Amino acid sequence: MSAGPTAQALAPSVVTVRDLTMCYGRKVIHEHLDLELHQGEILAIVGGSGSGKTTLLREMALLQQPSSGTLQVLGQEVAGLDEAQILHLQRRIGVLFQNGALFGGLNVLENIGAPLGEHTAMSNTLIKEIACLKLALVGLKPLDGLLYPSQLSGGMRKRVALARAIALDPELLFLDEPTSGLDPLSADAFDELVLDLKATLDPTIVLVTHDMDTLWRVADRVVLLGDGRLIAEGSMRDLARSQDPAVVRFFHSPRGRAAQASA
Amino acid sequence: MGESNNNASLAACFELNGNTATCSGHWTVHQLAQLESQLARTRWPAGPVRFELNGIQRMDTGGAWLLQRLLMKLERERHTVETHGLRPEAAGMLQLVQSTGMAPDVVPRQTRAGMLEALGRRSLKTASRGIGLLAFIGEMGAAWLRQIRHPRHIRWREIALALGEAGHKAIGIVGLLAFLLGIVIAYQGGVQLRQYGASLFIADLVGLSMVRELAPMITAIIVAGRTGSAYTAQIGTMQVTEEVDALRSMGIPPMDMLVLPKLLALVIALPLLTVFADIMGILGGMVMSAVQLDIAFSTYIERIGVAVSVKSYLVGLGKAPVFAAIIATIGCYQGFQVVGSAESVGRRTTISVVHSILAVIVVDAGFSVAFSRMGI
Repeated sequence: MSAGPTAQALAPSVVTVRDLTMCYGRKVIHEHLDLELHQGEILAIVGGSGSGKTTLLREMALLQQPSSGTLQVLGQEVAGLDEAQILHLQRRIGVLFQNGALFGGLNVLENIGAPLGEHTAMSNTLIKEIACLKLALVGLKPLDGLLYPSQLSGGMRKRVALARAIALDPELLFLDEPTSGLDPLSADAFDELVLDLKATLDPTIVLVTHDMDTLWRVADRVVLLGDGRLIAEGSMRDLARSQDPAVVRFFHSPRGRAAQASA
Repeated sequence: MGESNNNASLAACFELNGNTATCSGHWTVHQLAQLESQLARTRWPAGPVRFELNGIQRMDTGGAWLLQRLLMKLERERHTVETHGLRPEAAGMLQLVQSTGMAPDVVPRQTRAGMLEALGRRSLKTASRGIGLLAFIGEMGAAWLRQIRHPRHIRWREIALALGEAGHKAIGIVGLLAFLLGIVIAYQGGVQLRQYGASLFIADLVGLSMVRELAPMITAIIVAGRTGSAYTAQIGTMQVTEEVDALRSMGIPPMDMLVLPKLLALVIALPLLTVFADIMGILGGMVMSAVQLDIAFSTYIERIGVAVSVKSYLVGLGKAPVFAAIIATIGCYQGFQVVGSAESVGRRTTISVVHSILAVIVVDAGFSVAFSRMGI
């Protein structure tokens, strides 16, 4: 299912990370990272807890400023942008937050319609219809649109959050732990949904995950972070064959083996 | 940046010539607003309509939906519709939208209840809230009795913390406001009293009004805004983050841990603050009388001693614990009423402050009536 390394090398770069360092005071989250994200691929960032995965994702999604290094997103150098330009760039980016981050005071349809209402001058009716369409795209029923976030189950919450993330048809989609907190069946279904969306809307996707099954099924390429550095990079198959002890430790845990066996 | 130029070439276009509709440009969600109003204005000729779509360079789900919606509308109006030249990617997008089975009438609508139904629902809700509050007070009483029987379970540390938070830290603002209130009363009253040559009675005016009514009331109102709201927000946030459930799961009753210490601390703190407010208010009046009416401090204080009886002082002070109980009860109760989200915390906090101030004033009026009946 992977497009293969040659095809990716030809695709233009969507995000380019060069020598990126992030530290809070003396505490270094990651340093001297180099990373390239190609158009149309699904890149997974993995690593133990506290390895700086989410921070890296937040930097790429323009939610956090790196301490040093250069970052290019959708063809623009981020460091030189003013606030208005960053906001403009962010409209082309969708983010699925780990816990959904749905607005508690709005119902599902209003949540999905929020970015549409904010950034376009479309009529309310059309916005509601598009929101309903996105709801159908993530596999929910129109009537679910009237529920409030507090009434949703974990799986539904993730789906609604995904529907909101794709409200503006972003070119670049970030998924922070998309399957965390879901039961195995819902997690499988969510992986399927991500692949479906990739096939139909074709965004470039970056996902942070711990879920070995997701890595095997969804990711084209995997980046392993540890101790603030990039330890390994490649397709799951490459990493599974790697002899590097850090990689072996991460992917050859009992869980990693089980996922590989079923993939 | 030349963005406006860019936008012009990106814009989504639509043109109707006779029976042929030509679509072009970028049919993406940012460009749809104009197109939507243009389509709404368009008058379609009778008979078949032919769509030329090869000018559409890009199309996202929003654009595809607008097109699909248009096609559905025309078909419903019994036009024969033909489409031509849609590029493969755009055609894929249109197919995706069609495959969801989406239609304008699928959008669910919030059903609005009729007036009578809404009235009924609101009454029921209000009644159930009232019963909820009564149940809460009952629960609180039961927990309190339990603690009295087992004094080991009283949480002195929490009480001390709450006392510092509600009492010690409020001294500054309570003192300042009471002082200013004393000044205002002395100033307004002094102007009138001087006309009758009764300047000295300013001490009666300030002393009695502060001690009997204003000091307890203003203190209670400040504490309701400052501490009652904090109680609601704290318990509400703990409710959202499941900390309250965590307490329960550890076998610690939330009542014992979160409510009783706050209640007890406030019942202690509010009378103390009221005494302080009494003093500061009378001091404010004293300063103003000296400035405006030339009454010496010693004369003023002597007069206060005559005018303000111990009974009036106790009447004012006696109301404070009642106000404290009201504020703590409403604050904690509203905290437990939070469900779900941050927004709910905000709403409950507002309700808590409004209700406690309202209740304090109503109860104060009740006290006045009762005291005058009893001739105190």
